[in-house]
Amino acid sequence: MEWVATWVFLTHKWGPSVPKTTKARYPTKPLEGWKHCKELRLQHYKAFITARDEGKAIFTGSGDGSQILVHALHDSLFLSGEPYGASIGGDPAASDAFSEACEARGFARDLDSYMRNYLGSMYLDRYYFGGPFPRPDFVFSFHVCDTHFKWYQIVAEHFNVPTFGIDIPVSGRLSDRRESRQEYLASQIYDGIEWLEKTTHRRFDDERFIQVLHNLTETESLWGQICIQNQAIPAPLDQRALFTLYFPGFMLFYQPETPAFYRELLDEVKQRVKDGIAAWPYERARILHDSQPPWHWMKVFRIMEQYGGVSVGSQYAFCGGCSFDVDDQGVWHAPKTIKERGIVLQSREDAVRFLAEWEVGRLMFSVFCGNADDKNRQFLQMVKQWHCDGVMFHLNRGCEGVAQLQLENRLAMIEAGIPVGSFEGNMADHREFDEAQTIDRIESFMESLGLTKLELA
Amino acid sequence: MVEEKKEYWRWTEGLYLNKDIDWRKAKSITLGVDIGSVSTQAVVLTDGKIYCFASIRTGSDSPDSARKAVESALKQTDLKQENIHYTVGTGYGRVNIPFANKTVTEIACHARGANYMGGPTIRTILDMGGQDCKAIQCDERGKVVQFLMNDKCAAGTGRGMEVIANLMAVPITDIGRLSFEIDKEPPPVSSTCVVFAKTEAIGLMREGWTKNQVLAAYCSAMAHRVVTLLQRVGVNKDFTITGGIAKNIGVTRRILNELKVDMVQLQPDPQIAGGVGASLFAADLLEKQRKAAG
Repeated sequence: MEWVATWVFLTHKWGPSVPKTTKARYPTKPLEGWKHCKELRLQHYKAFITARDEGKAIFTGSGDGSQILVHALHDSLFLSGEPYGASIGGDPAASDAFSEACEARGFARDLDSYMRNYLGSMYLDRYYFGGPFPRPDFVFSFHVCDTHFKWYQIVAEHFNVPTFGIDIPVSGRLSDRRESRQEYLASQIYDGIEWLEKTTHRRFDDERFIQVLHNLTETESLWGQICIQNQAIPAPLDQRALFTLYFPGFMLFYQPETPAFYRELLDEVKQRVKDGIAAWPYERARILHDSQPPWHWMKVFRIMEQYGGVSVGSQYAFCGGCSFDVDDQGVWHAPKTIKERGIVLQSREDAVRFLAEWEVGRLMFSVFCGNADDKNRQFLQMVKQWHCDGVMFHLNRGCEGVAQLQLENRLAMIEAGIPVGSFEGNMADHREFDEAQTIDRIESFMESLGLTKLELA
Repeated sequence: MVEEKKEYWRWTEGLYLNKDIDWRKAKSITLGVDIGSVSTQAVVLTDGKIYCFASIRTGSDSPDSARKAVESALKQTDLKQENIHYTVGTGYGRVNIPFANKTVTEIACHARGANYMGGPTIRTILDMGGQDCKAIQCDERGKVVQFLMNDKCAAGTGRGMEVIANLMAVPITDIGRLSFEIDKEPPPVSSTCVVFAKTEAIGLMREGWTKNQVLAAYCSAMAHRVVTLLQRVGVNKDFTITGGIAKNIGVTRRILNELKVDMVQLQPDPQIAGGVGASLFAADLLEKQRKAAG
């Protein structure tokens, strides 16, 4: 790693203050799409407050996949548990109140912190964005881990509303028994459609279903292209930006505003790359991050930056919003849209088959597979493609699913000669976080990369 | 009659002065201050040699602890703080040292200090501090290659040992010796939490265990816990231990037995490794500063 920043020393002989400044290596400027993204997110959450008055249906569940089917019936609002739990996790006072309310009902403190925040909010009947907790009409959820099933069973019982869960098959390696897994998922999707029609007394509209799938692949393709742009040196976006910007693609892919927003964002990011605009003007080292961040302490990325380290991405931010295409050499590409793949979806059967293939192939699900090989391979590829100098693992006690392979991944990176750092914490429960120790670990890791603290004015 | 309340946890504070050194002749006088959660060290190097140091208990106020440590070290000599050319702060309280020119993490400082005190063959360092443990691998120059820390629990740390000393009413400096005055090594206490270890110790006493057996079981548990940490990072020879627990043979011997390795004893005091490393970094930075100033 070459560091060309200039040190300016003033000739003050022995005193403690020796003013120095590190010169920026790259120009920087705020991201124009940032504000719009924040607005889209807030609009989504605020919509629940008035949904009842506007006659909109509300349903809840995990992740994002269930929306693909529900939006084929009607316009509705989906309260996805993880992003909602994360929003609360960013506010320690709210998180304390909600998780304690949940724990007071007998839930163990080491359970998923998103879930505890969500359930606490439900038990206290306090919606984090204002008003009472939005009562769902039904629960319809795609599940990838054990917690998901129990989580929404509790919600359904609490509100006495019908519930349906689709089990995403994620055991073994991603490539194992792929066809039978697709078939297993497709059969559940058919059951889910039948259940939705019975529960909502609405007709499942295949044309709307196909249109939602087109929106989904277009949004994911655009997000993938944005992530690919971050391979540039200097990185046009940092990890904090990526964690924020992936929200519309994850939650709002079904609405036409989302691909429109991502098209604008992609243009802006491309321009930043062309002009050499950096997310952090002192970029000296590029760090791959693993797991959800501690939302209550996003300063983890600031600590890295104080040494010139920029977190340029993570599997969570990249793959949470996009199912990348991987070629024969293992290289990641932004996924092609349905049209670009030359696929014509003409019937429900075509669409169900496509959806099952798409979901089963998601790179993100490698974390839930119980086998580290896929994720190890993905990490090595991300380090290579995004030109990373090291990997920082947030050993996340808040999410059993995402954390389950982390130590094996860590060992694989060490064996590959990639510098690795780690800190312990919890994505959405600040009580399980030690600030002093985290600073210590990150600073030590940055020092072990040969970096010294920047002298910033 | 009210029983006198003793503070069994109080470990001996340390002072050192090398009277063979004349600081006035030194071209470089540097200070390293290591503020940990339990102890604070101030180490002065003159031309790269240990001139004096103090190791004291950390109070509730980091800047005050830093000042007291420096005062203690300097009161042995006529060297004044204004004669010191460069100061580096380290440890958890490093950001609160008002007179430090720069801060460096204690992981880097312990590796550098252990390399200086134990020689360039040191490759693995176990820093057993007041609040956490760190397994560090370094190169021949004392540069950190890899490290791992325990989680934020106090078991396996100096603070945990202090709690046990008070609980068992045994002076902390006697624990190591007494833990071997037993007929047979008992199984380690099972808990990894210092709070529960305390409860467990009380339970064992009720069952008829002797005080020494309980101490042995606690030292053994602490040793086993850090061995697991060391095995995660890997133990390459030469191996050494820094920090206050390095002085507790009840723990260190059990670590060595379990790992089946020897350790390099750091002189004059393994607890000052962080401060020595900080002072060495200060010497480097002073040289860099002087070069830049022409």
